[in-house]
Amino acid sequence: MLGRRALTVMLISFFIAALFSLGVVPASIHGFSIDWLVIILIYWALVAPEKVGVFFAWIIGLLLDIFQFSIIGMHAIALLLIIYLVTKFYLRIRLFNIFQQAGLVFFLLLLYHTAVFWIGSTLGVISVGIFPWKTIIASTVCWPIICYILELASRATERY
Amino acid sequence: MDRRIFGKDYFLGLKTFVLIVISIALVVMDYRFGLFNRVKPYFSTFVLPFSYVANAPKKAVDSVKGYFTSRHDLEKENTKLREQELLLSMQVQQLSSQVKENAEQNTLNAAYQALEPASSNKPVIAKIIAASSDPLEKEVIIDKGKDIGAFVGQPVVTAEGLVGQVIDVGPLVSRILLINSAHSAVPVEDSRSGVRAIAVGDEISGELHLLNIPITLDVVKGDSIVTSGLGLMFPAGYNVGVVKDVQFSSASKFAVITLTPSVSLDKVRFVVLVWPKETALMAQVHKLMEKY
Repeated sequence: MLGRRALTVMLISFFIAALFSLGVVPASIHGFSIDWLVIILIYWALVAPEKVGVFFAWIIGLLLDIFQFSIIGMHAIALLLIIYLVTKFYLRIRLFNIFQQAGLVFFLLLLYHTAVFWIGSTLGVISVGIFPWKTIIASTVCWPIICYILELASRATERY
Repeated sequence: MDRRIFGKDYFLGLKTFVLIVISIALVVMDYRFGLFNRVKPYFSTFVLPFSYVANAPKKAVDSVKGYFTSRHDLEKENTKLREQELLLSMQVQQLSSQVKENAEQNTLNAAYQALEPASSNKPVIAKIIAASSDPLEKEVIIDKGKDIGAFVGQPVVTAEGLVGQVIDVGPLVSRILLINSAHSAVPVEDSRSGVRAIAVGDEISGELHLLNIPITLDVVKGDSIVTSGLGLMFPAGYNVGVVKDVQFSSASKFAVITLTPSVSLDKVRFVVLVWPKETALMAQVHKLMEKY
């Protein structure tokens, strides 16, 4: 169960992730954009599945659709798929070490982008032929760092 | 309340299934029936405060940088601007004579008599306040919307050339499709040889391609490509790009022609919304076209 302070950390992390995904990162390194919201969502679905479940993921997905001006529901479906897997197997995933988890995150992101890509190219709103490999790899590399920072933040707030 | 003793949510599968079905319904409603098209502009208004906050650190850094611009830089810039001014005023002189000529011809032109006066709407300068976070979506948001009378399909330009067109108008902001988006097509012509073509964006390289130019036509490297005004959406004569490369392959009857856009589309901050006179003719032209 999450304490009230950890809950604050959670909300702040989501807010920052939303800001980041709106483009604080300069356009020159935009090829390497990171799926901040997706990673943060996976993290909290593992830590607090009773708070961050499929419904939460659905809402975030709809917000992503609004932020990215895409077809409403596209990112929502992709996020639902991966957060369903995370909340279903979260007890097992928690036992993984950080590298196994990163590997899993890689496959979850792969699934996520495949779903978005698949829906998008079926509808013709994404040009076929470009798959965001760079984004997936960069996000996977970021996973241990983000885990570490969020754990540190949760612990620091619980102490006081 | 807590159903999960060992972390098991018995309705997880069902919940996911229902939500996915709802999402699919939303996708279909949005894509097939365009149900959200009327609300979508308001979404961008909702994103506006977020993008202001997101851009705040960048803006702060920029303003500090601007403060420390050295005197030397300023002097250099000053001389450069003076030179530019001289050059421009020369060109303006040339232009003004041509404008006079054009005005005379226009008064003679009966087709334009039916038009409303062109001065009804002055060009409006707008600032780009947000760009889509997806690098492949060549779309930006500007800070002008219905409040100044922007409309869907309105051309957007800068001093260097064509930027794109308005595709969504919100109450205070609107969305612009840049010309290097794959969804954008601009009727253009070669300003040297007069060859007409369609310039379509290539979002991966950020450049444009001319479609369906037979290899026998006269387009060579270095030609400047301008809008032809033939689609009636973009006024004629705005720079679109410069031919960067012309390739022929024996497999195709068409040449592969790449343009470098005249405006550096990923750097531009200020754009101008224009009200082309040609828009007034659109209805009549469409009526004539429908006969065939």
